[in-house]
Amino acid sequence: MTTDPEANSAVTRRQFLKRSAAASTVFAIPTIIPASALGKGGAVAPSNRIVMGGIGIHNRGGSDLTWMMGEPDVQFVAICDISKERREAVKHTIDNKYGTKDCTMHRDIREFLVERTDIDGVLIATGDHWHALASILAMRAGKDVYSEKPSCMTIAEGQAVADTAREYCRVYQTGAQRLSEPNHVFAIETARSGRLGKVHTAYAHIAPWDAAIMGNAWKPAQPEPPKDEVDWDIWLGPCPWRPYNSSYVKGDWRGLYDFHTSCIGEWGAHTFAQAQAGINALDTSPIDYKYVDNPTGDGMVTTFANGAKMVLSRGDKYWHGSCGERFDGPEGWVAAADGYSKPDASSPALLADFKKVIAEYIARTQRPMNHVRDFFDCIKTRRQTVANAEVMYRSMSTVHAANICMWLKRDVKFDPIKAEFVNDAEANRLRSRAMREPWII
Amino acid sequence: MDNLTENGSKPKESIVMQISKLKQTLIVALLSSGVYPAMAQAPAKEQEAKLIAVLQSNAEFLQKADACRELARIGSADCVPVLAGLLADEKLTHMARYGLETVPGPAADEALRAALGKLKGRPLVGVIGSLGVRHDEKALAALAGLLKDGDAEVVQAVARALGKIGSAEAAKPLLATLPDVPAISQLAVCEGLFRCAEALAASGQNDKAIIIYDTLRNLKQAPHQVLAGALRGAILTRQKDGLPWLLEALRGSNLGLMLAAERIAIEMKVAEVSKVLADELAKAAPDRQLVLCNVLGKRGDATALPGLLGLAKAGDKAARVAAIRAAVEIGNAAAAVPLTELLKDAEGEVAQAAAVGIAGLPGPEVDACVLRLLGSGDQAVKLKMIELVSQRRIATALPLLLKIRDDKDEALRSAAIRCFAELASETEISSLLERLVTNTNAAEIAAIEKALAAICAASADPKACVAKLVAALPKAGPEAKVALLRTLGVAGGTEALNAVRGAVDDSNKDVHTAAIRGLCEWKTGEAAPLLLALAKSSSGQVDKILSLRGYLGMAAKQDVPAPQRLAICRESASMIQRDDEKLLLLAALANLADPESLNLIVPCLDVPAVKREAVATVIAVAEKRQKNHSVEITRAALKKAAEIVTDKPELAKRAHDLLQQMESEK
Repeated sequence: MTTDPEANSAVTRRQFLKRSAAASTVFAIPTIIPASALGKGGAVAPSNRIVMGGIGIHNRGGSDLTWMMGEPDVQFVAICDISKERREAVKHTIDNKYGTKDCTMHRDIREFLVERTDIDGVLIATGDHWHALASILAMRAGKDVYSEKPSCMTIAEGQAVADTAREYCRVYQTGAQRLSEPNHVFAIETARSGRLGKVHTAYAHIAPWDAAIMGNAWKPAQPEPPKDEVDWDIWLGPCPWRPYNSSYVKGDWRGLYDFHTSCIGEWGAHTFAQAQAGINALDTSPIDYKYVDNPTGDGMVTTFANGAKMVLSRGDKYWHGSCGERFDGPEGWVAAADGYSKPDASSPALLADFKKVIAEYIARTQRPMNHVRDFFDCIKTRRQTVANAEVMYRSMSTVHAANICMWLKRDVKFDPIKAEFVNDAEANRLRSRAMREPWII
Repeated sequence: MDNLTENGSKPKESIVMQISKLKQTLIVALLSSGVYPAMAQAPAKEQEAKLIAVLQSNAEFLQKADACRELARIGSADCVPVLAGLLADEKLTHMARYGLETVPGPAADEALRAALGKLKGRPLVGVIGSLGVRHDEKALAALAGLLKDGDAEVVQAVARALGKIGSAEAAKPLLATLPDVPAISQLAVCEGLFRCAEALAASGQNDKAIIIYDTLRNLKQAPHQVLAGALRGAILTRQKDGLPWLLEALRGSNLGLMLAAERIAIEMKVAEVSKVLADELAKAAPDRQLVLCNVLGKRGDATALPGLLGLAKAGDKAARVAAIRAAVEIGNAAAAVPLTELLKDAEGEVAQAAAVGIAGLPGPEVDACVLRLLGSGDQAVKLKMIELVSQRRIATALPLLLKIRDDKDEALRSAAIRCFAELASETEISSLLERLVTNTNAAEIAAIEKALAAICAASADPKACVAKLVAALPKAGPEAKVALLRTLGVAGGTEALNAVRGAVDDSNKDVHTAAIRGLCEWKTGEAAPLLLALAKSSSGQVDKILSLRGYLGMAAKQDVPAPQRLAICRESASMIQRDDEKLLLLAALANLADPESLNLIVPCLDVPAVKREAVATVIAVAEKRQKNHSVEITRAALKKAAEIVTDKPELAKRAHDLLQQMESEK
């Protein structure tokens, strides 16, 4: 079996025509499908749909799948998963949606990518340790990628995802969906546009469970099932081998060093991007990380090259919900988090500009307030998504640098241009982890 | 120690023999502690020696794997020989590389290089990958030799590793092998070349990078993503000189390359791109106009505005809409006036795109444009402009809105009033009140009330606001008075309170009721005496009940001191006749940990409709009891409570538990 699934892929003229036809929807917000692209009954004609495949669809991935299948110009045709039970469940969901029996099932991602050359994009919602590798394999195979977060396990992996997307002109979106939600966009744009004056401090929420210092213990070994039922070797992928235990496959891998990015990555994968967006720092990472003597990183102060600070916060001191961000400037503050009916701000006057701020954002970016729609629009237009590979790489570099600061129990300095810690060989050794063969990138 | 050896046998290596059993136990404990990354508990050299010892012992896989993991963080050249010795071990080869890959210095490179000739299959693939990660230039020759290996996985790993090394020398064997590479490995070789080209361009060797990109671009049987990537590299590396290639792809029939060019054109930093593409706009077919608009909008270069705005006026509908959106995306206020001319376009989508565009275009010039149309447009345009004034929050529109609010057209008038109310600040209070006092339109009154409430809530001088509201009361019609009373509640303060109290005597029933409700919902305990007086003196039963309830509600206000809250409860208790109010009383008392509360609660234990709530209140007060509580009164109340709540075992148990606890406190 080849390990190079991309080798046989080719884009058919049908696909190109589809993209060309779809290009007339380029600027629609919400997307307007032209009549010429519509089939009977208002449905998008099959030849004009974006053909999608799922990779590792479970809890969160199930939500993404439902969300994506709600888009009229999208059709899922295949599922790839190491678990037979999940393959069949997702096939049932997809077939049920379309009233067909067409969804194909695949166990091995390499074979999947070789066989389904007709697929335009993939939804990747595997365990965290597979996000980057699956994204790279899919983009090498010419697919566009929507990957759940946290989208890389190390700084090196994040860089490789960004490199691959760039090299092959692929569209990539990480699942930092709050970058496409009005309340968060309002907070970000209020900060970014100078309404608070020059923002000096951003606050970013980290998960209120787990810790920065993780365990890595093996669970008791269980007999390994047949590959067709659960392919344990592929589940492990690039990670160090350990004996099979069914609970890993069911999701009990969080908090383990080999598979997780800690409480900082769990929500920082969202909130660091949110915070960095508000201080115009999505193309960089902080240069300085101050160690805090607690198990979680709560209160860590990071500083960007322009002097702006981003503070990691675990509690609800700065917001009243989950995955929040807040921006403080000399002329006020603004915050948003999940569960808010509206953002929070230091003055009603700031909030009164809500509609104006959102309208200006949409005018400036021509993006929809819908994260998956943004992905599909960009597949058609070849624009960069709001949470593109570079955004993911930079915000996740912040996650990893903060984790490394906690693991070393001391301050660290990071050079975002060189992607290395400054005069710090010990920290630099934690930027990557050797991948288990044959999974090398 | 037991888990370091098998069957109790002793490790063979001498270094292990030198380490005490205790030390070995400690290191295994550290590795198995489940905390990762494990922090060094000893100086790195000492720690490294212990980890090496684990690897040289008969320790189990887990301990050895964890030792490799830790060596990845602290290992030096000292650990290289032992890690290198594990590269051929199929089980441990990955973890050996895990340790080796980050060890600084040439020893690890040499060890990995040496392994190339000894390994096969996946261990070899892994080692090749690690050499790539380490950018080992000295491995070039050996790696190049493996490009002809019969194992496709090895060839692909080599191609990618050479790419990671990324030098001109690394590119040579890749270029040489490209024409003959088996299809199965073609893409890996292409990827290696992409990596080399990027590295060469980054180091200023553009000429060498261009050779690579052009070679890839001219491949006959290459996947679409390779051709797209090669076009990108070929154009971006050439900078301005790449423009002909860009135009060729954008004009061409190869749709894959056209879409790639679309992406590349957005990415290109060369200033001339915008002008060249804008010039192309008028000549292009509608489907290409869409692509060009997409690019020009994203590039954000105002030089493209004339072309885009020209296209927005006439032509294919989809292209016109795309041109409008691109013009808006550029974000230049110069687009505002031309867009206003499209607001009444026969094509609805065009008009809608123009309106949405104006709403989002930033800048005071755009506001001025909206104001001009608000002052001079016809009714439809004015309505649209009022919407934009609201969305853009153009406060300077207030005088114009003031005029329009007297317009004959009801829709326009209402929209103007709502918009005026949304934008009004403290200086507009008089104007708002003037409009309010004679108004009978419910929607307009609601809009003005909302505006007044927001202004009062945010005001730095609420007394001044209140004075204006109070002055307006005598002139106001009933509907307006009701709104004013509610607004006074938001503003608060003694003067506002007195005004609301005064309105209780209003002859209009709605105003009268609104005043009583206003007192009941007053934000502070200041209203309590007024409510008590009304509860005692009102002639109407409904007024009495409302006032009594409002009075009881004051016992829950945090700003009311506890003794006053108790006094309210005490006063209320003597007036309460209905069970509903008894429940309110119990709720208020439950929050007062005052011994006297029990005297007010105990009588309720005999009232069937509220006895269960009374029991719960007795328990709540007893649980909060303090030293000054009368033990006898509390005990008696709890005993009675326990006796009568037999249908609620949980409450009875809590009462009994408290009694027992009090016994033990004796």
